[in-house]
Amino acid sequence: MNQLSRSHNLTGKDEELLEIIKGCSYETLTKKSHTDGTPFLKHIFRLYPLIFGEVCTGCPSKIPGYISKLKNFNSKKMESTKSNFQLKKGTIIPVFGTSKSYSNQNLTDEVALEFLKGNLNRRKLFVKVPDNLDELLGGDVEKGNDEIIINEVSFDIEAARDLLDRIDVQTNAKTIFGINKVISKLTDEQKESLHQLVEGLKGE
Amino acid sequence: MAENCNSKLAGSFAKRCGHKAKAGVKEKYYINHDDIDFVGTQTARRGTSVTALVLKAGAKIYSAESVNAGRKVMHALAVGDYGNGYTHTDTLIVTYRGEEESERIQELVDGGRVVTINRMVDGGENGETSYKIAGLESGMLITNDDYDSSANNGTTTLIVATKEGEEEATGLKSWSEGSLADTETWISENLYEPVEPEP
Repeated sequence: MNQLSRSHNLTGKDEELLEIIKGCSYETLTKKSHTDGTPFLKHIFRLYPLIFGEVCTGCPSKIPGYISKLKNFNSKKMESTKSNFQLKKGTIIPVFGTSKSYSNQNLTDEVALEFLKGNLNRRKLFVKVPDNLDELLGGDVEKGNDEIIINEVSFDIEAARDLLDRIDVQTNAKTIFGINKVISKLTDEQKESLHQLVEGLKGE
Repeated sequence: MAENCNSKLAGSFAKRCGHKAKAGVKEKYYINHDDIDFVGTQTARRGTSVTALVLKAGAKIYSAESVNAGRKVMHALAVGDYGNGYTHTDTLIVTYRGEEESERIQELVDGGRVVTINRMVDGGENGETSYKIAGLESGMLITNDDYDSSANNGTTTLIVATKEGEEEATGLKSWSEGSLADTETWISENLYEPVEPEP
């Protein structure tokens, strides 16, 4: 299983702090403060969600578990097994019907692909996906929208945005549906310019 | 999923100098509760904020247009023996009850469960509270379809609300897709547009 890591969220200072925490006893961590004056527990509640996704600050019974997980966390090992998918910070994917959930800490390529196959609208929850995502998804995907087709030529979102830009139409649209909507609202003159542009590309 | 089971206050209610609270809803949209992808939708701040609203493939949101005073949304805390919750209530004054509108109302009467997105007049200091979502967790069901030919200028008052026993965990949820521009883009990309009949 290819595991993703949230360790990229840690600064150099956080990494140093993590090493200090690893060297401290349970009693020190729960009762004393770091040399910066901040209680170790406060640092633990800040670091834990950065690495593992979520924390309950009002659940004293969970503190030993948090400390144990932080002490056993090997950021270097995790970084070496990075996946091609990366969720936006704080994103949690629940598995409906179970108490299980995925974050960057335990997300695998397989789970990410299944998640996206279920609904391509979920793509926006990722900050990083493989370049060949379409190929990986194959045809087995719930697509909300059709392709962007201009003059019988299919374009991806970036290419279509570039074409619109070249006819001086600026848009914030980031989805196929959005781009198609912008195109449908072009004036006759703009549509003509777009068609000519695509015809020119066909000839190249 | 509970994000935090801490029940202590963790901050203050700070004075926001220069900000004047304002009433009103500028825009309103309906969503079918079943059209929301709850696996993908993300919340934060103990469920009071929606940071990513994800619709199921092919689903759309529907605009609910009315006169200025014809859009309203509210919540009320319901204190219960087994936990507190919120009742969300959404009101729309339908000024034109044509064939299309009558059919939409009947869909609600027949059991349609909806969620509403509301663009508030008061967007907060930096536009961060511009959008509020009602009924996200349980959906809302129709409670009123009031029409009187001799009252309210012949308009129809349509109210959907949280069903008793299905109270929401939070009040109206703030919604932002990252920035106000991103949220507006999301709306524009997911807004249903009726297909014009061929001439």
